Amino acid sequence: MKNIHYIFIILTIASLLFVRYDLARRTEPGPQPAAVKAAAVMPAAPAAPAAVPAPVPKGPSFTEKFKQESAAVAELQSDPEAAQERLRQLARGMTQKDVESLYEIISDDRNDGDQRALAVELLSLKNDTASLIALQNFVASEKTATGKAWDRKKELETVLRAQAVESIAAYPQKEIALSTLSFLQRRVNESFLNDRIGRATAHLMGRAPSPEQQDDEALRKLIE
Amino acid sequence: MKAKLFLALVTALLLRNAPAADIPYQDHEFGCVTREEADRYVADFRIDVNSFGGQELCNAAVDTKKLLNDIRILEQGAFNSAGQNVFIRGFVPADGYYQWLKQETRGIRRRNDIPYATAYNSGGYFTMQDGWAKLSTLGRVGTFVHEARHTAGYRHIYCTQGPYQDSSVSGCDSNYNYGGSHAVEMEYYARVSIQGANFHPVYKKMARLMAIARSNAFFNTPVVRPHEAVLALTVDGREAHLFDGPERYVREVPAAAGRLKRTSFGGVLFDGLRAFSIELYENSGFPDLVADTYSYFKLLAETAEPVRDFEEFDQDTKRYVVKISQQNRLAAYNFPAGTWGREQALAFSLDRTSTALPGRPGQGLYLISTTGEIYNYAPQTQKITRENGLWPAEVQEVIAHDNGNLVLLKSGQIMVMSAEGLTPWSETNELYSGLISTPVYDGFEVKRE
Repeated sequence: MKNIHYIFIILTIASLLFVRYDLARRTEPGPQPAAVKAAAVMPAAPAAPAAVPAPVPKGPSFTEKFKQESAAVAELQSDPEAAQERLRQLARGMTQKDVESLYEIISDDRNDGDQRALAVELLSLKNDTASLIALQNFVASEKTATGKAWDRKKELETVLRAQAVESIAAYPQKEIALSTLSFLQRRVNESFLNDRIGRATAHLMGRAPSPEQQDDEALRKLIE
Repeated sequence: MKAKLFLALVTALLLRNAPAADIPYQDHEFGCVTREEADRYVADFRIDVNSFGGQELCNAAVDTKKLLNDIRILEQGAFNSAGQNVFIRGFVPADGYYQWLKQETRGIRRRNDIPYATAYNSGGYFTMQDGWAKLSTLGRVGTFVHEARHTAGYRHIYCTQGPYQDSSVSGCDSNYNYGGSHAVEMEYYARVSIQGANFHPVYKKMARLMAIARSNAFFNTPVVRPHEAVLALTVDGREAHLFDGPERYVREVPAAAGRLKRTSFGGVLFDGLRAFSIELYENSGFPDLVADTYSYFKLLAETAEPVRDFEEFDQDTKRYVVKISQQNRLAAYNFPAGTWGREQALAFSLDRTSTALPGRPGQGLYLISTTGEIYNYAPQTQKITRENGLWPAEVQEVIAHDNGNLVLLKSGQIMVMSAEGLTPWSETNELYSGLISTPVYDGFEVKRE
């Protein structure tokens, strides 16, 4: 299982490198066509007044949208479902570069907690290979709630990683989700996160409801 | 798989330039607190505005705005049901957070005079530290609710169970019913998670995870969480009996020889190399061998090297996995490195490991030598020290149970060990060859068949 996981990572990285190389090759200026070369050596005709293209209104960048949405986490929502739809749309429009920037946001504990939680959520909704790897690396990183002393900062680190574990479990290809969880089980020594990984694994193997369902059931349990 | 990967990458690239819909709150007033609101909050809670960075209605980078925002969430957050459950007891009325907080707050200021704390409450005056400012909105709101409960005299006590039981700081509440700061904070998270009507989806998700993460950590009587049941293997090894509170279930057992061992997810039969899973929650009707894929016993299958013994266990907030090789060398799994750590030779010949000792409540990892000497392994320091006394020759297994011990004698009887000595366990009078305590998860339904 471990080997499969490494092969999967290597294949993913190789594919990404190839796509990047291919895109760069296609977009970089290549040899100029003969007509262009000829034009360069001919006397230039008087230039006709060029039509000035109307400026295309530029929408907000991903970074701007992300900042606005992270501010919205701290706001009450008249329509929470609309907020969820905004998140889905924002995730759909994310590029590889955006995924990389979100990984940087979640990995730096100096960043605002809402921004980090939103970044994990967007990577989850994006649900592609690059997002999965970003989430995996985040969970595997060592800043977890360890030690005897408790503090809320450590607790936030744990909750964010638990959120990421659920996101990994939601990856559309079950085998890859399982191998990622199995890999993380060996990298994470915090018992709460280990428990979450175990529950997510049990769910993917058809042995238990999803951790979200289990939580909801536990939180809804009625007093007898 | 490659084709699927390629397809995923192509899809990602195609979507790369797809326009995202405009976010409908792109105006400079979005998220601003009105001056009237701000003035009311400052007056009601006697906020030392200057200590929070001066008056600020819009910029969330200023701590004043963070606090005003938090108060607004507490005032205007709506819950769509007033029902009660294990978590939601009505310590604070669902529609009364603002009034309750106002009543419990004499003043709020911002300092960093106790940097290791997030905030503290001194006679109703709250002082928010740097750690508070770095939290998520949910974390700050939870802190505010938590601190407010202290005003009414609710104090923490030492933790007697859970991940912080060895901490020198009083950080726990006796139980949820006490309604202390932890319970009031948890009640808020549970409400947001299952009854919240107008919260951001990310805020709600964090509330759910926060409630679950805290449910076992801060109460000396756990709220929900895996509780401990007892699993015993019959003498003929054909079935296992699960004793879960007053209930007793018969579980099928893989047709394999091995010692019954506890894992983080239940029980296995372990033969020194392979571990076969015992399904706690239902019987399949087939005695097929199912390799354990949930716990760390699967690590052994990768190296295919048989070991003398193997244990996985939790201590404080950490999980530990330890193996003792056939060459009598102990190694602990190094999680950050994802590999086994350095082996150390044992100065005695190991007979077996045990997670409990007769006559001692609590759990640890104990190494029992072939001559009955007992050694304690400290996972954090990896030190091994000799314990007083010898392992009783008639004892096969010992587990922690109900603040005491259950003991499996070599004769097959399960006995309760107390200060008065050994007495038969009232739950069964059958004979067994294996005994473990096992976590039973609340989210899983234990079926009779």
